[in-house]
Amino acid sequence: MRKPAHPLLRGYVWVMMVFMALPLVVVIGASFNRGAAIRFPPEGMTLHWYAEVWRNADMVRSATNSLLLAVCATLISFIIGVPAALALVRHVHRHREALQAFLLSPMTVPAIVLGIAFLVFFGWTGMGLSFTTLLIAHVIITVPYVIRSVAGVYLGVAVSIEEAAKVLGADPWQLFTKVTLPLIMPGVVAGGLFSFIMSFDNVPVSIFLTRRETLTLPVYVMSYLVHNFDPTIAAVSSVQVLFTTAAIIVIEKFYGIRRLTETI
Amino acid sequence: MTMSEDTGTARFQVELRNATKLYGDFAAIRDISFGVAKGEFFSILGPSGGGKTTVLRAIAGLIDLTSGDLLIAGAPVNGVPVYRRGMGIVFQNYALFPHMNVFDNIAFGLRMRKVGKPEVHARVTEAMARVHLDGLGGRMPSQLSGGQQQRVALARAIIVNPRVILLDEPLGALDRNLRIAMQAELKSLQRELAITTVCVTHDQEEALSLSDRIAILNKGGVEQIGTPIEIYERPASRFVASFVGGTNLIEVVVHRSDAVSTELILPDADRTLVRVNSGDATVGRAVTLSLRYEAIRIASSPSPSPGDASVLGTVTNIAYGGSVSIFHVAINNGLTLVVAASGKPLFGLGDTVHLSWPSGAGQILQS
Repeated sequence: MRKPAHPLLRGYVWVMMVFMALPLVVVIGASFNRGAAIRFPPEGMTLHWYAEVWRNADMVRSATNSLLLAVCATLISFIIGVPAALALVRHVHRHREALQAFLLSPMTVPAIVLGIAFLVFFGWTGMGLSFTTLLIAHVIITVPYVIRSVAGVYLGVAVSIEEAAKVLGADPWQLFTKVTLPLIMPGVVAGGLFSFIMSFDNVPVSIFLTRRETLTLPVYVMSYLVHNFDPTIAAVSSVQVLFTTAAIIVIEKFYGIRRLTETI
Repeated sequence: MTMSEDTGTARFQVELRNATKLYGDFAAIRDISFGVAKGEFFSILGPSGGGKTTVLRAIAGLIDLTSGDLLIAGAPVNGVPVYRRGMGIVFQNYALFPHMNVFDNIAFGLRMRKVGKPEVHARVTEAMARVHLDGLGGRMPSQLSGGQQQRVALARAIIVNPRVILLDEPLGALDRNLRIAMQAELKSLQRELAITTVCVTHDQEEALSLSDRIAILNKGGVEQIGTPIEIYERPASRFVASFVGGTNLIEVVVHRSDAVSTELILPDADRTLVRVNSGDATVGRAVTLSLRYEAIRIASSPSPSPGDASVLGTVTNIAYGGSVSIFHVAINNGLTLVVAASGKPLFGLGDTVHLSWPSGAGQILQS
């Protein structure tokens, strides 16, 4: 049995949890405010602003855009990032560090710089601004998250496990599907989660690359806030919080959050 | 399955011919040749960095040879990918699949070969019984003891009826008592199934007790290949003599030699140090004599047999080792001989003792 934590440590953990959760409580609370301003604690209770979100066609469309963009960016990041991570850990020997730094560089470049760079690049090459170019930009932002978490897990997998599988008759495809992929799954799930959130949340790159029809939710919210300050924003944010929480519960149910944190 | 059946009647089940593996300028192994007969337990023994793991990995197909040939059942397999060589392997760290239970681990090789479900079930059950894992099929590797993991690894390797089973320090991670028990089990399993086995180890006791033949590898080359008794009793080189078992290496000079025996003396002495059972040495030549620790008798009185060589010495160090104690005895000429004696040590530091050894006790080494 584990011995109970020191009361001071317990207290510290609780304070930190409240500190982290408080902004969410404020946003969710404010979304129920009866008045036309974002206010906490709310005065009265209404679901009016949720209906308002649903009625706002631009907002719904931007949310759909964001969702589609995040899903596509994450799937493409798997296709690019998983093989890259595997190669980086086991097969690249020369210039490994340089290649790794290059692949992870989008994480270190300030996002706003990336945004401007993409804008200039897409203009210069004549590719223009479309869902495709927006997706390309997002993939470049999200791929490093997949690479990093997959590589992190894969580094901890003993080489001899895969060697044993090969000697025992696993061809390259069987090796990948029966041994390697199940073993790196925690990294794939974690990387996918990060990738999705990074894309779904992104403002500094999307703001340069979206047009009216490709507007993403965060960019729409920003522009909405310029002229309005009503609880619709709080309501749409609350829906996002709900989605994220649901996603985490699903992962916990079918996979276990513990397995994500254990190996990374 | 063509993978695990042998059609021909090749002389060797595994054969290396002039195998060399270079990493840049460094030769991990150089010009190694040997053959392992069908059903033989063949060990590769040597210090770490001697090239033994390279040999094993080359046979498995995990690395390619720079030059030379590898034949399995008489057919060259250079360029045949790992997964088509029909082998089994057991690693020191077991390398079990952590995401599969015991049953699935053992079934792995069969499933890769697309064996039908009922047959998989029957063969896995049989293999589990063979290595005494009955009823543990549902356990995960992390819930098993070291010895049990070892058995799973073994069952996983033998279930595919491998043409050759490769053991990479198979018992190295087990503690002593378990290791000795597993050695016996491994040997009887290997004999029962008549599986050709290539075992890499740095543990000489393991090699001596398990093997039909042993290859001693040092610095990427073969020092000697022979049965355990040949290796121990008639080491071919200084290296083999000192690596396998404990031995005194003494620089001596040939004093007299005829067709059957040779007398050796210390360079600055006139008394015969030892008479060995090999003849036709050049008188006056300097050679190295190997005299095993346990070949020397240590006593408080001179040897009763007149044919024995005998010297007087002083005990300078004692290491008590339970069944055997090791004495360091300084004799004249500044030479210290190491002696192993069974039982409780009967002598103390500084005691004067008589060392003796029978005619034919030593061995002349080629340098």
